[in-house]
Amino acid sequence: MSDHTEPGRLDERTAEHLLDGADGHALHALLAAAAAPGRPAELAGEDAAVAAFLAAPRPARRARAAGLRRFLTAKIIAVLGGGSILLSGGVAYATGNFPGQSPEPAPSPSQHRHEGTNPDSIPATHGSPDTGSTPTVSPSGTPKRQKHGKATAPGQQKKTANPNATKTPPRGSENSNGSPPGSNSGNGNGNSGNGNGNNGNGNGNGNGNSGNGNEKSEPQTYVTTEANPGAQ
Amino acid sequence: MARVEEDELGRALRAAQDGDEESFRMLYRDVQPRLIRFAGALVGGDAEDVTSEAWLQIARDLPSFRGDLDGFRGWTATITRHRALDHLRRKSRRPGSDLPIEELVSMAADTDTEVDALDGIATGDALRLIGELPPDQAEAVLLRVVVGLDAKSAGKVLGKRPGAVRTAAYRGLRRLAERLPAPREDAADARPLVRGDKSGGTGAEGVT
Repeated sequence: MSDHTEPGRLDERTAEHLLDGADGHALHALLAAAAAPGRPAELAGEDAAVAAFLAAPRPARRARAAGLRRFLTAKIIAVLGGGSILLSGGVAYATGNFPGQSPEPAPSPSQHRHEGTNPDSIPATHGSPDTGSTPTVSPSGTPKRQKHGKATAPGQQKKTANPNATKTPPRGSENSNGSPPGSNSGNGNGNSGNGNGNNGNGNGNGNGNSGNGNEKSEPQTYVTTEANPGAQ
Repeated sequence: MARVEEDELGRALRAAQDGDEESFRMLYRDVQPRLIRFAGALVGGDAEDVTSEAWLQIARDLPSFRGDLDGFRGWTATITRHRALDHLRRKSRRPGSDLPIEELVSMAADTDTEVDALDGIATGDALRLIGELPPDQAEAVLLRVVVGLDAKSAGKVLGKRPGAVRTAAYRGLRRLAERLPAPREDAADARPLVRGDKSGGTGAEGVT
């Protein structure tokens, strides 16, 4: 005490140390006294505070969970988004092959997988049912497509459905044109996606998996349709 | 009451935010003495009322609090200060009272003589000495020393820059040091004021 004590003279550095709780000056004792542990009289309001605490509406876990949520939300969104893209892409891939090739939805995927190496045979069947079943395709084609779309991916539905709808009117021309399989697919059914996809199943996979791929495929269909229906 | 380990208090803070009563009590026992002493410099003998009001808000808003234990202390000090200033406004009985904070605090400083009724003599005397400082200095010293905040956090509570808080605290300490009895002559007088409180922590100083 005798060493440090020049009470009136206190440099800033010493003051800062004192404020941090360090010893080294006569003032330390004073400050330590001020910061001494609490006494019962100071804690008289504990029960009242606890009562308020218990009565408080408590999103309790929400509070901490919220932090975690905020922390993870972006990641979860990213994962879900990626997953959905993958799913839609996969669906697009799977369905993309089917609807164009076989108007019957269910069996087609299995066929598809089984016959995966036989795209050529499929369009052959494809062309034949189209021509053969063109009436079935045209009236029922759209609802069937919707079914496919719903089952598969919402994003595709709209896009494919709309162009199909637009395309459906030129069906007649399609039918006439129908002989070329690729054009048929493009015109008639959003089969277009199939037709294109068929052309490049490999491509269709890579591109078509994502919604973007679909979009890309659509303009392709448009192109084909446009080519066909200068009719449009 | 020994102050609980900081780590344990940090865990208690999390648990209290999840609704655990015992953890809340632990926090209260750590923080309340700090708050009531800080409030004492603002509202004197009404510190208990002010802190009671503050705890209503703390208990209500605890789940939405974000931060660690130090942040929690700063947050509670801010709430306490606001309640203290509200209290002073009410007490001033001026409906529109738009008095600047400094003036309100100065008014409070006139009534702080009751602080030492709170607890033991030594701590009470130390607080009274600090409470007699100019308000900005008293607040800075109390936030740093009693509440346990650094200059930056104390600045947030006071709405000032850390540099301003450092300066105020430094001036406060200088003034306190000047008021300390000269060591050799009045050591006997000075020591009892402090010594009883020390709770054995710092043996070195008392020895001469």
